[in-house]
Amino acid sequence: MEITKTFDGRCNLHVWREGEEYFRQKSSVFLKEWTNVMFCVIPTPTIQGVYSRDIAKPLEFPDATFDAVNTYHVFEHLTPQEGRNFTAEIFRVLKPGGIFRISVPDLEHICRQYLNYLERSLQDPSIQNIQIYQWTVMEMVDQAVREKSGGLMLETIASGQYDKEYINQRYSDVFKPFLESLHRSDEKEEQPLIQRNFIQRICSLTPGKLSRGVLHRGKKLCRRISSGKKEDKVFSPRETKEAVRWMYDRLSLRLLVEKAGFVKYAQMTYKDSSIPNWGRYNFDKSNHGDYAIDPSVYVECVKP
Amino acid sequence: MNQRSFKVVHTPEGRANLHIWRTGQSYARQKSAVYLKEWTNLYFSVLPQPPAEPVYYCDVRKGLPFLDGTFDAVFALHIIEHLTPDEGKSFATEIYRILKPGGQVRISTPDMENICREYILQLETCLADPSPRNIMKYDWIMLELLDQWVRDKAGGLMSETVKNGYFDYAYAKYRYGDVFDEFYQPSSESPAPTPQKSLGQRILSVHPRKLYRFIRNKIIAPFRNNRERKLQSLLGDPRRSLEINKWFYDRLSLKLLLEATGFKNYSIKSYKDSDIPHWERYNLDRSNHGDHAIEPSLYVEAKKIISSALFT
Repeated sequence: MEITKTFDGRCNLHVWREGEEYFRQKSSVFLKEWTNVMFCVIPTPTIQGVYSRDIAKPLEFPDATFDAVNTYHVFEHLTPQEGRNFTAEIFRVLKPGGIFRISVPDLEHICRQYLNYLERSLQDPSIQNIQIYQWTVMEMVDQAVREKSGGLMLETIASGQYDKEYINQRYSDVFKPFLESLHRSDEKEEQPLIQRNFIQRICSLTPGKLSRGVLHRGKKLCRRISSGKKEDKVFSPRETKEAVRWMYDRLSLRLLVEKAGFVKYAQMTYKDSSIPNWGRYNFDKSNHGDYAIDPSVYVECVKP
Repeated sequence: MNQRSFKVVHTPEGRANLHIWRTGQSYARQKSAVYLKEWTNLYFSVLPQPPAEPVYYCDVRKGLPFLDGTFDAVFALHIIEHLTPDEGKSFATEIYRILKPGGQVRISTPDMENICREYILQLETCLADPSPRNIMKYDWIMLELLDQWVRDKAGGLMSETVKNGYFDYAYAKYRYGDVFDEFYQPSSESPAPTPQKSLGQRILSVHPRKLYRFIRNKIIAPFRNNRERKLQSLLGDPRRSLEINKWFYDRLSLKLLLEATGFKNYSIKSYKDSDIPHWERYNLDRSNHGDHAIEPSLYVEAKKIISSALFT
């Protein structure tokens, strides 16, 4: 893999596993100035400037390559053992004095929110409180147990039984495109479909329609045979590693990185960092205002 | 459905009670045998198994194999957290169906509220005083919180931790009660030192009976006994054996679930009290070894009440 340098000659590595949405939320500077690795298990077409790799395997960089490593929402998708291996790998590829920044969903915050809304709903079981409470329950467990991509969270959003204000505040930017795409697919479905029976359908066939139909089906079949049915396979969230495998808070992150040998552990906010020129890239800040893309716990440490 | 031929057992007072659980053999050992004779017992198992009196095996996700209005009381011990929310809803509906009007349901499940509070407590304790013992407790509660959802192997990280000895016995016992002892004992026996022998020594020491047993168990059995093989592969995968938790509950979400099903008079109980008559005779949640819960959990009860207007 080629290593990209920033304008001032530093080597930085950025690892994440979000899809396309992520690009829209960020300025494109990081694509040109950082080395980018997207964590994915199922091979995907390479995007310009981004390598996709399964980071459960060792990184393909030589020792002491980078000045800084930023991992964005990666660790929760690894098992604790994979997480320890990955931390050791990052320790290896960092130069002495290199900075390691982690952001992951904050288990402590999620837990506190859950307990908070549990108490509120017990005192005042209004629909709004119960909906927020049910969302906090989902936030704790749905990402770990889901059997379909999107899980119960997607179902809940599709059914509309959630508190818009609360979710906006929780997820801000990450949520908006998600919601938009959902509404877009709703509109498509709402096109009036006239139900016709089999005989009516046969009677309305014109030679043109018939030939188009045969061609379309034939092409589809050929494609399926040539690609070995891969197209139709739906991967489970555990195979794609969408499923959450572990969770962290400020203490367990500290234990994790200090065990790997890092020092100078510090908790950060979404907009500050000891990585030089952080303001130029601002990975965790929204493009649309002064708030976090996806409120998380942010920590940094240094390789001695 | 031939499963509907499961026999309903009655207590001496003529009441029909149903007891559903899935925790394995150790559970039966912790209890007096009275309930085995006087209750109808259903064991939640994913793989169909032949009925073995007095315990019947059944996959509760496919419905409960009894007729409407059969039971006076139903007790589901640590079942609901192994079902997805949708399966949980249909399970509650099934219980409602098989209960007589006025019948009582008791559900026990790990208490997520308690686990979360304990987690926050341990986290704060550790942040104030990061001593090795505090961190050990914190790691344990983290396992309790997360391991049941994410494990890939039977037993998961929790059994690995116990094997490694990285836990605080008093704390683990406080969290899990008697269940922890059952869990802990076998692993303490297992690392018995086996003398290392060379291949030659091993071949020379093969006893004909040993050889026969090896061939029978390892070579012939897998071909002959399909069910056994299925069971083995199932037990290795906690997602398929449903060892894994699919959801979690607390006093509020159980209330919402039961009330949405139609149950009334929801109440939270302790391990030793219940509205089920003669509960002290069976005491299904109390340890045999003292006045404490077998496995500290959340216990709730509710009633199927059909308003009398319907009957008049």
